[in-house]
Amino acid sequence: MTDEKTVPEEMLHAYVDGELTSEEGVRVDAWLASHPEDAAMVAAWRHQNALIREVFAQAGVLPDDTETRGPGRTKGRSRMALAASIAMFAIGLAAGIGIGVFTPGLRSDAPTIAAHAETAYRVYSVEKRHPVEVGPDEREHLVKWLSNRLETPLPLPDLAAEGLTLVGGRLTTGEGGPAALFMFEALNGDRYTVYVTRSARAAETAFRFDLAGDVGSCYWLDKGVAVVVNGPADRDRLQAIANRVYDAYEGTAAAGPAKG
Amino acid sequence: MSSEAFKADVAAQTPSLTRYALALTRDRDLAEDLVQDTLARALSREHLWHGGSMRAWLFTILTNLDRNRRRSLAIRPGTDEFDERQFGTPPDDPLTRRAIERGVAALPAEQREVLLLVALEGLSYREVAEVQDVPIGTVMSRLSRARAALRVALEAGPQAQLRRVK
Repeated sequence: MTDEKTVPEEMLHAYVDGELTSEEGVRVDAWLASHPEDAAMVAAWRHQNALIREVFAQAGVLPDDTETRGPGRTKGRSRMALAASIAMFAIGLAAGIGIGVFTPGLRSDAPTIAAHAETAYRVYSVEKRHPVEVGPDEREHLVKWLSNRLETPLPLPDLAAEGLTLVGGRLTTGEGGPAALFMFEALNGDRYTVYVTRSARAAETAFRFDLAGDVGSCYWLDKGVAVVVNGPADRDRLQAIANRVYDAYEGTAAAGPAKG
Repeated sequence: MSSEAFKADVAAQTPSLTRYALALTRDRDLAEDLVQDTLARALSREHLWHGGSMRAWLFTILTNLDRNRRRSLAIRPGTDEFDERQFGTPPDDPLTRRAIERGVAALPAEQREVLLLVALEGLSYREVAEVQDVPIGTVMSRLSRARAALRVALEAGPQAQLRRVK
């Protein structure tokens, strides 16, 4: 890579906003190393992004801080009223649909695991060359290895019916212990991961569905095993895939080593 | 997509919509109205939901409602003034904070929308193009101008911001 093509400004923006592929990112990295003015610009934009998030994210929290309300403001409705009305709205919706997705109490056990899984998805699914440690040609070894590390039998779900082929798997981290990550790929290149870890929490939960930006999560806890399915934020698609994973995992923790 | 799932997905975006509305308007009462109107509008228009990015769709509704609001405000100047008390406790560096707030507030509305959707809400350029109903190239040039202006604002500091014209 000796001939360096000029990197246009749009590409630098895309670099800052995470819109580039890893190859393009490498090219921009190389460019910035030898173009300090552009590097300074990129650093300034990153700094802006961070400040914007810091300043305005704080505003979105809606703290109960009546002191900061201006004496001249006589519109009546306080920020608490805003927080309360929006919360009521959301809870009302949740109650209406009967799956407690927005009730904090119900959500408290699984989210940290879901957050680990989502991070793993974001980190590994974009990898072109090393997305997994063990490839599809070593299925048996993969399953045995990860099952041993997690000390629980881990079935490898067959998602062919959903048009997904196995990319492979890797060992990653969970909450204070190991986690297994299986990765699958659709024909269009979309990747899905099945993240499995042990959870000390006894709770059993129904399916949860969460969207975090462009990534969707579907997760559940069952008999001390937490399973999180991640993929692009298409609820129906993710749900269909998660159903198949659920079928594969149903009852595994309680059962003996499962063959298959 | 079933109606329940639809409602759940709409409601799940409430915190993001609130944050964006606050950053956009810098006014809690307005933000509340915008978010409530957006949710109500989305829920009553499920039949118009065409799939794709739910976020982009909701941000489109909110952005358009805000544009309508500003249009109606145009005949009542002065109502839209910057009110720094609308936000919570300042962070460690109040000058930088104020420079950011003023700098963002001083941007033309289209640029402010792009910058907030990209930097604050993490929308992809494609989603922002959908929200604003413009080609991606327009999104890029708005983003570029917004960042250049904000860079000047931040480097000049909050005092100079008041004098800067563009």
